[in-house]
Amino acid sequence: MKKVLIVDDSSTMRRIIMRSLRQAGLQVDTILEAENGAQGLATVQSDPEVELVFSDVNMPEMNGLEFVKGVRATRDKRSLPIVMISSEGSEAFIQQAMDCGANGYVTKPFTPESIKQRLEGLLG
Amino acid sequence: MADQKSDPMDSKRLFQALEEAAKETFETIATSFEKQVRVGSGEVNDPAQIFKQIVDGEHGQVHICAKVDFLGEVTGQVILRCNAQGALDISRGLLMMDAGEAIQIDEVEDALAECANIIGGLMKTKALDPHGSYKLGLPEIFRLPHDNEGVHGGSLLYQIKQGIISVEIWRLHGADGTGRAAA
Repeated sequence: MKKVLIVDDSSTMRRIIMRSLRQAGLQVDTILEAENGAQGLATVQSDPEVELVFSDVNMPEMNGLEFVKGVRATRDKRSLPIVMISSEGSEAFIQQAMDCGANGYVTKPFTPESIKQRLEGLLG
Repeated sequence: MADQKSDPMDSKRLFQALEEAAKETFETIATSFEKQVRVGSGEVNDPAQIFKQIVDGEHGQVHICAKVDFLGEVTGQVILRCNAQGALDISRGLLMMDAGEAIQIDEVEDALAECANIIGGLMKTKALDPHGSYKLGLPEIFRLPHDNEGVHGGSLLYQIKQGIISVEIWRLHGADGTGRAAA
């Protein structure tokens, strides 16, 4: 996999996700970071090599749901895999994220193994 | 039989959810932890004093606090209170760091804030969401002393490795125990 984008306002959470991906054995050439949905959307729209996105939900400026909608509204990004990672764990909220266009949802706290399982189901 | 929806913020249920959330979080980020003290609602007005007596002794230490607000029919805060070692243990666990790996103070504060956010999110899912629409605020860091404005709803003291961490719940509305928000 060439590039993975992590969108989260917490640098700690971005770091945790990066470490989890490595521990899960996912081979990634480059990991890109964005601090909010607006930055993430700009990255997705400008870099065609992004193949997978992890996004937080609660972020300043543009939240994760708005980010996903923005990605899906971009012509050639309708099938880009997006996994939401959040402490929001209610079924209604997860359904809302999926309705916005997310492909997967991981609730915090998570382990590298739970990330791996979610990606296996998503990427095959 | 009491309808749970008519009393959405039953204090015991909320405290139980906090305990479940803390347990689930610490099980994920630490290989071992132990609950030391459980202080229920109404048993103590100032959990900081309990923390000082148990953890700090007579001389006291600087505490680091992370809080996250929950906003809805009932408003309150989940607070994570740590001594220095507790803050390090939480941070290293959350960041999956080795024991000797260097860590910066801003990384510790960010990790504590994230930990409070995770515990608050789990408690919200377990106890609050079934009764309405609730939102979590963005987590914040405090250097104690921190004056809580609300009513203490319970505290849990844990030992993780060498550090001590207190997980507390404070309610800013519904102080009469009915779970009703102030008009």
